[in-house]
Amino acid sequence: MAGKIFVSNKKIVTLLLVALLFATPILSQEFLSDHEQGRTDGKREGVSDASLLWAVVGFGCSCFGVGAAYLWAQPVPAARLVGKGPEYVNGYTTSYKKAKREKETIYAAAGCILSSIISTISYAINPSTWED
Amino acid sequence: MIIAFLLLSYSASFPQSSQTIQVQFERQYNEKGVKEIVKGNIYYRAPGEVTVVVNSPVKQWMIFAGKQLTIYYPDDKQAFQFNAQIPISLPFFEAFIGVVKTDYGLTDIGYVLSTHKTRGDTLFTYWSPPKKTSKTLGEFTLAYVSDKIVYAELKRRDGTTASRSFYKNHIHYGVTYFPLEIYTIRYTKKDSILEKVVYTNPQFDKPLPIEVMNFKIPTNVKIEEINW
Repeated sequence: MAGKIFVSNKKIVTLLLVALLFATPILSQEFLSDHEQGRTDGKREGVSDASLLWAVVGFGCSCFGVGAAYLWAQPVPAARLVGKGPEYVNGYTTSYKKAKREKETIYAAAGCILSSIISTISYAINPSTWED
Repeated sequence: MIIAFLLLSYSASFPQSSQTIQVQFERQYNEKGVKEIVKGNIYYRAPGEVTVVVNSPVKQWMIFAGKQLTIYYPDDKQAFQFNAQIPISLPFFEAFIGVVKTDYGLTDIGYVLSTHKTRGDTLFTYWSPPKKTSKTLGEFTLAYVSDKIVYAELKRRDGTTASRSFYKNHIHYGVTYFPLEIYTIRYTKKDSILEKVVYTNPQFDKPLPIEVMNFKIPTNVKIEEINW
């Protein structure tokens, strides 16, 4: 009898833990503050807005392309701030610019690295083309 | 990149014929199943200052002046001042005033008319992108019926559609037909974004409200400066 009660309690506890596991993301979503929502949206949209064209720039201009990606003037996504509260704007602006700039710098760096690899392979295959 | 180009391009298309424009707006924005509705008033003052006063869902002032954007919250006594390296603009309003230019300002930003055709009462014009953006942006299509813009489409370099806009319910002022309803669909990799902007009670070349003309952030408001 005691064993049956123990097994029953164990099942209840297991069910509660599983329910909590699934409920936690839902609960945390409902209580996401304006600031956190802004940060989340800013990061997502900064990455989404990042241009793959910077990979081409990095490929063609090597480290200068990487520097340009980091320093290039970024437009302010003003339309996304219309009708949003101050906490949201604060969170959004903090993360958007950083996420977009970082992503574009990575693209440029990837292009730069690819260019270096191709140059190295080209030299390895036929060094005479690199000599004067 | 597309957004950057559009923002830069629209900042060059402010109309010079109207000294002031004031209009009420309701903007519906649908992304990933989430619908947002924003209501307020927009005040334009030549040569290029735009003030947006949002009434719902929050009380918010947005003042666009070249490379500076000020966002002020009177209820929260907070303000942000963005200082950018390039002009800051509001695309959904510039789609409204951009009609002042016969070619929607496309020539000013380097687009070249490649061909045109008529289908019934509709004139379609097709524009090739400038070289500096030809790697990302493709053809721009404008459609007119009796001098009223009714449709615009921007394609990417690979031929896929980046956005489509439909213009309805035009009002005539001077030689220009301003669309009071603009529907835009933006196509992204994973989703489509729907935007509907309805303008009401437009007034042209009338004095703007004193609080808009003489707007200043109160001294007891905390201003956060953001160098963008």
